[in-house]
Amino acid sequence: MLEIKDVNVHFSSAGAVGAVEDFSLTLEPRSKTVLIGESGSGKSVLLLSLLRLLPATAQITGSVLLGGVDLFRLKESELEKIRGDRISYIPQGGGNGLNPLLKIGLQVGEPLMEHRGYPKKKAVEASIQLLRRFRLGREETWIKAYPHMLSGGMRQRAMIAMGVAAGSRVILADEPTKGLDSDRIQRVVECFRELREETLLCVTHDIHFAQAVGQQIVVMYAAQQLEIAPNGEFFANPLHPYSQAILRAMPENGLECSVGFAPPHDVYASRGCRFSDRCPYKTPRCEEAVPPMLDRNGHKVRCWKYAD
Amino acid sequence: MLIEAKHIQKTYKNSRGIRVEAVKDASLRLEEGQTVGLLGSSGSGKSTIGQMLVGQFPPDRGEILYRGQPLKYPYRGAERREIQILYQHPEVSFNPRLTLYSSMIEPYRLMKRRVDREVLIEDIRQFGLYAEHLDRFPGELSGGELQRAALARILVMEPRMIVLDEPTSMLDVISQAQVIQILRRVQETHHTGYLFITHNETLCKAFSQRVYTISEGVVSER
Repeated sequence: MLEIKDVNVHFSSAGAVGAVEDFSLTLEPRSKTVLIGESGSGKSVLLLSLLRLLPATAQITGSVLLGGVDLFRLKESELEKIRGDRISYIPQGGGNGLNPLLKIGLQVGEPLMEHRGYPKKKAVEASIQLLRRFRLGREETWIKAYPHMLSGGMRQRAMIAMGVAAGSRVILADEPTKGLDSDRIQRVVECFRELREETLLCVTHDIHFAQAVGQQIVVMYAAQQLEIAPNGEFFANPLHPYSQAILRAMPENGLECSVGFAPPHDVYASRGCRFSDRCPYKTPRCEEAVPPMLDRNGHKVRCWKYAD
Repeated sequence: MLIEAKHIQKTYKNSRGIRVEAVKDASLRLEEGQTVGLLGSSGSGKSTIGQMLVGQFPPDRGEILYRGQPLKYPYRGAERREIQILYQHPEVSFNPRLTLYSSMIEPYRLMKRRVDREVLIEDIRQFGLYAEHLDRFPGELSGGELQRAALARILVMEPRMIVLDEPTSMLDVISQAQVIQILRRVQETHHTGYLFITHNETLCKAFSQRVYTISEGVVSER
């Protein structure tokens, strides 16, 4: 189990508003959670903060408990032993997280060398099985290739194989389908469905991917969580006006632009609900105080509309 | 007819020296005020067609007509200004070492239009951009903000036609809908023609009046 409690991330250069504010979430073993929201809402910063991969200018508070151990309290040397072994991070960018100078087999097998003491030859051999699990095809050939020789989708699948190589049971993935075409997205979806034993926390802009992979959907906006709901409940009955706007903006729903542009950044700090400037249901109360996260039978929403 | 490509072809050598026929046979046409989709998967040759239409390089064979006249590479004069492109990755349109303000004033100078900070703040508001964005570098803006800035910059050039090369594939759905809404608004006012290159069939149908498909370098109309 991964328990994220009251995580706050603040960059000293970013003024009064934090990059992530009071983020709490419990990830049960083998659960699949997808985090959606627009660019700059804090999703990627949250993922990086969990493994303390942010630059030194980030001030991070709260706790992240993995099997009862708080990752925020560990020494860097202790955390290095956990990264890639018990919890892995797959960066965004169509597999651009791969080292362009190293062959695929060595990179996919590297966690086995690092955490399981495999010699290089055995690790590279093991990478064939890992890549086969995610149906790369012609695995014996591709382990000898450099990243630029693979398509974006293949690089992404190699990154997933690398993430689970040493047996990590918690996978953090950032935008795994970004920039891929629909055929390649489908293959990445199949790879994530293959992760039956692993716990997944995945950030995405791709609503179809979220629907296909996530058991639980979390919506973030301007550093805060606005809604947390089981997949079926979220897509059938989204509660927050922002979540409703996201679904209406999808091409199959007519690309409807029911909310305006985000206001200037300094507006956030002086208002109650962060979304109030764009919300069609705004009342005076929305500008007075930030709404609490309300629990409606397991469907959580941060909106004054549901407070009474 | 705004622009018409007649049987254009393009072959190039890849990094290993192997000849690749990126575009084998492409014919398409676009009227003023129309959005035409070009739908295809990665590597099908769709971006190569867009780059030829905007004059980044010439076709090996075939010809491109603009308002009935054959275009000669390199483009000069009006066609160079009137045919613009919006890329999938907006960061390629901006110098990473210049603030947004410095990048945004460039097209005003090319068009010999008066510009200062106040003018710019007024002009960019309709794109959801504010004074606070002008002092930031491209890397400090979100994908949606930077793509809207790229579009705002192109529109200063008063284009007649824009090649939209996957302009929303890196954006969240709300940012995507916002960019499409701006494009529709511009088209209604200025009758701009769009060639909308995408791999997303649902989006292509929702935004385009006509759709071409491309597969292995060959274009056909649906």
